Amino acid sequence: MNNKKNPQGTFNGIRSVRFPPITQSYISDPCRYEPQKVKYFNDTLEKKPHSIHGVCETLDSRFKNRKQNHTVAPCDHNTSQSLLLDPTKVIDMRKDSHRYNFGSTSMTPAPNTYDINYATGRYASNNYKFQLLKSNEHKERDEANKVQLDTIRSLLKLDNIFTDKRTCRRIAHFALYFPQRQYKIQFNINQFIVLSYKNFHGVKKSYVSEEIRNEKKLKEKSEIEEYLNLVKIINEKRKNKVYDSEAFNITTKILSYNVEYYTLWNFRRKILLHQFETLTPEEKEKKFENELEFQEKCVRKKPKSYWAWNHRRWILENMEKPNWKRELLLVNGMLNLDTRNFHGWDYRRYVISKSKVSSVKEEFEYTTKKISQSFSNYSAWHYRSKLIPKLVTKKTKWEKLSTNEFEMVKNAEYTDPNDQSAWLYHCWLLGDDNNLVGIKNCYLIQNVDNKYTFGIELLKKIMLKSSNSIQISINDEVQKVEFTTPTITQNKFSKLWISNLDISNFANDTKIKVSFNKDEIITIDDKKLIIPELEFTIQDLYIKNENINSEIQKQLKSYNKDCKEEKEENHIKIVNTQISEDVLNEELESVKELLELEPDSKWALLTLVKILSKLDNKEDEIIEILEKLKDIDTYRNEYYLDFVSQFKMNKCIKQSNKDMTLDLSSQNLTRLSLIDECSTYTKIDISNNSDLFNSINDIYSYSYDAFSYLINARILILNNNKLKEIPKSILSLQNLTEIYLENNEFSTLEELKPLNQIKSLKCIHLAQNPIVSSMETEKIKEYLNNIDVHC
Amino acid sequence: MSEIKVEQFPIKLEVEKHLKYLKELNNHQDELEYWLSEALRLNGIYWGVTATYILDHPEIYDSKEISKFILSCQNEDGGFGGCTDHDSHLLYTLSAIQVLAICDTLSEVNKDKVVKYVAKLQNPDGSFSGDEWGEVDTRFSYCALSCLKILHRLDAVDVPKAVEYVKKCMNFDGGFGSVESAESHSGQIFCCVGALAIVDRLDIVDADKLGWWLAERQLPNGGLNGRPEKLEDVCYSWWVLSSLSIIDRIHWINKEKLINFILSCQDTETGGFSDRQGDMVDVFHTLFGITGLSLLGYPNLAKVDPVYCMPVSTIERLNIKTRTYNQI
Ligand SMILES: [Zn+2]
Repeated sequence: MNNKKNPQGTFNGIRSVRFPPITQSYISDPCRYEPQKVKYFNDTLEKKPHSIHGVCETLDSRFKNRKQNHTVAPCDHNTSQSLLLDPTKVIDMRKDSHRYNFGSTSMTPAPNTYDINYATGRYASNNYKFQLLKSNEHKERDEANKVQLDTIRSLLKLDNIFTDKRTCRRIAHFALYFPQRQYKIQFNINQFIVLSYKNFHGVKKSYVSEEIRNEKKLKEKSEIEEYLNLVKIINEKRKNKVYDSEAFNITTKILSYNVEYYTLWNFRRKILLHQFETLTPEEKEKKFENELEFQEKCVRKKPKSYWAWNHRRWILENMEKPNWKRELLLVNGMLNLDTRNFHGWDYRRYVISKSKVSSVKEEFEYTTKKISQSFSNYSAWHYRSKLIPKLVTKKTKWEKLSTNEFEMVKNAEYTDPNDQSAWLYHCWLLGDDNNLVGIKNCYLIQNVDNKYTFGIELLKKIMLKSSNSIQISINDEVQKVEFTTPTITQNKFSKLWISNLDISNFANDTKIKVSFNKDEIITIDDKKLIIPELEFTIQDLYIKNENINSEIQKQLKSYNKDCKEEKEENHIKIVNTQISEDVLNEELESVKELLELEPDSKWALLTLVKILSKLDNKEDEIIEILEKLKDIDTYRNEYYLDFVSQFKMNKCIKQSNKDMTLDLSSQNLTRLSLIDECSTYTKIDISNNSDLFNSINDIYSYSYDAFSYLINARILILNNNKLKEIPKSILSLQNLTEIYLENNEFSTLEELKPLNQIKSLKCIHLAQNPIVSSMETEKIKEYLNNIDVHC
Repeated sequence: MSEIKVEQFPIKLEVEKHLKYLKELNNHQDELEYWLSEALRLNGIYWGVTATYILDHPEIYDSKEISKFILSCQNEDGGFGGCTDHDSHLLYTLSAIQVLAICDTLSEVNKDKVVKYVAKLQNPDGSFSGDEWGEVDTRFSYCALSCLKILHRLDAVDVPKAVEYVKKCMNFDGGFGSVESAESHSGQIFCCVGALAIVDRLDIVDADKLGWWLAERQLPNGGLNGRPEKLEDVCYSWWVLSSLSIIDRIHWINKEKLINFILSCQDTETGGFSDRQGDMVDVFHTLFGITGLSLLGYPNLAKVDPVYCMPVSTIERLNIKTRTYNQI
């Protein structure tokens, strides 16, 4: 184990070099490496074989014929050179190989094998301009591959979203450096490069002269007349409900001309329904078959026509024996033409929902296939996110499935770190932050009017379906309480729920029981929460000197283990809710390794933030990364600023544990994301954060509820914030007695007027505001219900 | 937020040319395309009318003429077809109601009939069909709820059920699809987020996650795409931007670069906007180019409401302004 301290970070594990960095001297020949480097590379490999992930699946399908007769080559520094020249030797694809267990969905390369496909893919995509300035030796190769290269180059130049450019680059690379594979590569081009067809978007503007345009109009004149005549006849028939074959034929004529004429699709169906009344079942099926054929003809003209697809669904749903298998083949064809066509994917899910032509497992494998063809297929990643929960059973554990998924995203990310598809899926795999279930805090606060507020803070947003969702009993007597959220907008889902509770007649050691009715509480993802009954003494619940009541926290800690989401029958829902610490650490290491190779990879950095935020006390590291991201990804810098604010706030909250004050001053905050966790503080200092209030005044930012959560606030400090008006949500704070507004921009009484709504307010600090220099303190005081005004 | 100035950009918004383009839209009756697109006529009118209002030149069209034509598209069942003699569909019913609302001629329509038509299309699971033939899509949830809100008749449908269905269409990335399990798509996200805003249920949205996904739609050239690894397109300036605006995260993208991109998609000869530079212009992209600029604070444009895609002045007159996501 190499324990040397890493100068760039805190990572102490063994490092692996995935691919020697390409420097200028290699560009003329990427296949040649200095022996020293190759050796170092192999040594590293042996120490940490699992860190090499590649795109073996694509290799597998690309070199099908080699499967039976290729030889397995050991990967040591003597053979590396030759391996680099023949990728198919690298990975043993025999199923019984001890080197590589080619499981159903696994894509991990064997230990000690060097994944040339991955390496060349990386090389090619890093050098997408194709360094074609070659030595004489290379010129010969170029000659041999010229046709192929020209094809690929022209494909790359196409301004065409459906061309898989990465695959092109990889094939180009193979073509360049592995001429002996030429025929196979040629054979495979069609398989990998997906061409688009014209759709209604992206119609290039053509410049035509007035003359030609007039000519066109003249030509169209008779066409228009004929068309309008047909429309006139058909409308007449529609009006009079004439369902004859002439009407049917006219719809055929018009629809093959104008697929979007939805009214005629409707009419056509009405005619068919009418005709069916006199047809035998066999004749009916025949008619439906013809109709399917007609629809196919139309949809080929306009593949994205919603109306045409609706018609097809109608036909199939009304057929006696619809051939769903054929539909699946059709949809396979569609998705081969355009791998991201969402009509295609939607239709696929429709076909599967209507029949049993493909199982969940088969669908899952289909997405694997699509993703291996192009990692950039977000539609397939999306579909995977829907299939995985269905695959998790008692036998197939999420842990096992997820290992494979993590491998797969890694393959994609290492192939092209700039492609966001896999990263987005990766973030989902890591789990949502707010998936923990349990109670975070439970407390009683005494309000200025001597009434009490009972508060429950949960780890996850919930919605109470009725007034019986949470019940409170004192001495076994159910209390009449109504839980609400503190915000003005009364969000239906909330982490914080409060209610008035009259405890004035009970002794301090009286026990308060809180019970949760699981049928009346739901989470956003529609799960029922099982929360056992809680029991605390009034004394324990009452917040006095500490913000986080340690006695309560102690009790909650063991209690939260029993809180969980209700499991649905036979379907264990543990998908992406809990990622074990081991997995997290593995992921952390893996992302850091990629970052060594590509220190500025935005998506790797973002994923790193995501992982770190699940570990304790990483705020400083996270803030540093986010600051870096802000510079790398300038378009979204305000996004990163908002998240820096979140982690800064988190830090302040953690540091404040031992008293009732929350100090957020001078943090350059842009938003108060965690303010719903601040309901128990009595004193909150948000001085010197003018950016925060800047964004509140943004014309498109409407309601701002942030301050409503500070239900226990007695003192609020807002000095130095360039404030011109009182943030509205402050007005709902019923315990606020003192407010600091020093060094702001209040200049008229009118601007201060809203403060009169806070009945509890006793004191206001207004020094260094324009209004102070233009008006006597007494006058301001008079205007503000005679509260203390300090200037 | 720094103020946007016309001089910041290499090209300016060609207001006069766009107005001319919009004005002449109906003068193409000698072209076949005009007749082939008849089924979309009501949508087209909505796109054109709204565009003139946001350009602050509502006088371009004769609102009386337009209202008269719109009313001629209403069918016996209470819904509106895409043109006269076309079957009713929610897509056109919403456009019709929107245009009548903008032109302040809502009083001329039989509202009860419209409400009845819309309410009948709600399914037991809360979703909406587009018409009697039963296609379900979250686009229709938006159409129905927006339409009923404009008519102040949300009570006619089961709103909690409608919300439940929209919620079911939420995906792992925080976005929404057309039906349950369908992939997230910015156009669909606008419909779902808009529908939730209309019924004041934005608490369902995971604004940070969705906002991030939407912000990642911005490409190096400043334009926005509708799904990951796709090309930019002017209409997404609307779908993405309005969604970001509704969840109060419009600042997560670079506004100047987007304005630049939108302006570059104008046809400076004929007026109008295309999906991207060099393509044919159409009224659909013209509206969404202009409303995008309005949301971004481009000078001298009327304000557009991100939820309804109608002038803010209309929304204020109708008193149907929605509350937008709070900043938490
Ligand atoms: Zn578009």
